[in-house]
Amino acid sequence: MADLAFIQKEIELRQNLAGENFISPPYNGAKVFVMGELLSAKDFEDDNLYIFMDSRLPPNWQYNLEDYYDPRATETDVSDLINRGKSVTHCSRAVPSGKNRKPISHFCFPVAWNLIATDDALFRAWPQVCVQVNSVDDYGRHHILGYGFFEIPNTPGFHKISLQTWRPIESLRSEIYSFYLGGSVRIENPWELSNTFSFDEEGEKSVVNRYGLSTQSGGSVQFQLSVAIQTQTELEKQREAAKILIHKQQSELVWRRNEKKAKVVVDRTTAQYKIGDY
Amino acid sequence: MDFKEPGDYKTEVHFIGQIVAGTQFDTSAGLFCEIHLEYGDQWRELPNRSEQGIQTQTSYPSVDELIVWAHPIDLHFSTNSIFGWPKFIIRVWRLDDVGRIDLLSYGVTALPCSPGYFKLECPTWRPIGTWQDEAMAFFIGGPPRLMNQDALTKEVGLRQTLKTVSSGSVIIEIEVMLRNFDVHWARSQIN
Repeated sequence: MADLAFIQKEIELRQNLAGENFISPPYNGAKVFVMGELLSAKDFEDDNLYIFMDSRLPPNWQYNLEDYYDPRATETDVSDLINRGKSVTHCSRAVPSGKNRKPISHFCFPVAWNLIATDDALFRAWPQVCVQVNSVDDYGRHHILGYGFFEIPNTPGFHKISLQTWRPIESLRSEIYSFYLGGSVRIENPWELSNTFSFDEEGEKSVVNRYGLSTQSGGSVQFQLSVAIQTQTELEKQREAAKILIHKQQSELVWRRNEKKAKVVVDRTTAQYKIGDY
Repeated sequence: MDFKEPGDYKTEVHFIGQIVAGTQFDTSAGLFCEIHLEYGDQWRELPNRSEQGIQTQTSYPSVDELIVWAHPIDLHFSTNSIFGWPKFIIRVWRLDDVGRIDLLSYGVTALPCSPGYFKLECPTWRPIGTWQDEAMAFFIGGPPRLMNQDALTKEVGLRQTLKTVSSGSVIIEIEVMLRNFDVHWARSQIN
């Protein structure tokens, strides 16, 4: 019974001292907070970089709109969901820095993904982030310098991520065309890169085969993310434990009362019997 | 069980550390760093909300271009939510020989949400204008700066119209301490 008293005391104390103000996750779900920055990009062939960033949620994940009012959330246009779905960074000119004077483009672009997931979904695939690095020059010619993707780290804590990128090459002609006139060979759906299997024409599942695709390596993009997870499973466990203990206690009480009643009845009858006998 | 004071289950966070230095700012003039805090509605800075930002002294670069500030930070928050974790908005200013004060660069860094020691390197940038602006900035001073400061954190969508040039980076060493987060089932560290 010491356990039950302790748990009840804990719950009561929390309600009295801290209040119920702390925003708790939904029942049977978890809140995942990912905050950090897109720091910089380096080792790319070209200067004046800008980056497209896109996030994709697996099933049973959704964006958290409860904690704050965001007018952008009600807009229907997907491209307006800046920093939630899709984001575009500013165009950054690199300066040589570091010991070997390598040019690094600084972005320092804040990212914040506030997500809600069900408990089952936490143990399956996590959201992915896809990055496309572009460059623009003085004549307004745009090039694509790299594609890359990563999965949001599924352990809470502080993570530094260096994301390697590549871009497809079609032919020498297209490279020359791109060099003089701008425009690059692009991937129609970048999310195809992160799929681990594909369906062929007959609808059969097969592993990804990229035979025949020639690519050019790009530079790397640096991320810095802190991840925090808030679940209610512990709370539920505690509550259930308390419930079971209370049930046990009550049933025990009922049993004792019944026993006592029975005893009393027996006593009374015996007493009457005694009286009669007397 | 020990006797508990009211507020003993309040979630609290301490950030203790220092703004160590600035590196790779290619300048011989003195630099100083100004840091403002940004946090959500549910957060409360203790003991009082500081209206003024943290500002360092003016420091001149050493031989290896390291600009040492070593400015202490000691912040204490109580919170009702994980949402709106504090962020540093960093501005680096330059004081040159003639006494002009120009804004050199902007940077944003989110503070880590797990307990421990962290070394954050915040890359900074400044907007660039037309070549006339750049020429004027070179000879007269007063490089372009942001008209709308919301572009830093609040409305990052504004950033897609910006052209910037990279500047140096600011190094911040910080230690994070959390209190009573386990009571509210918020996990920010591997058990």
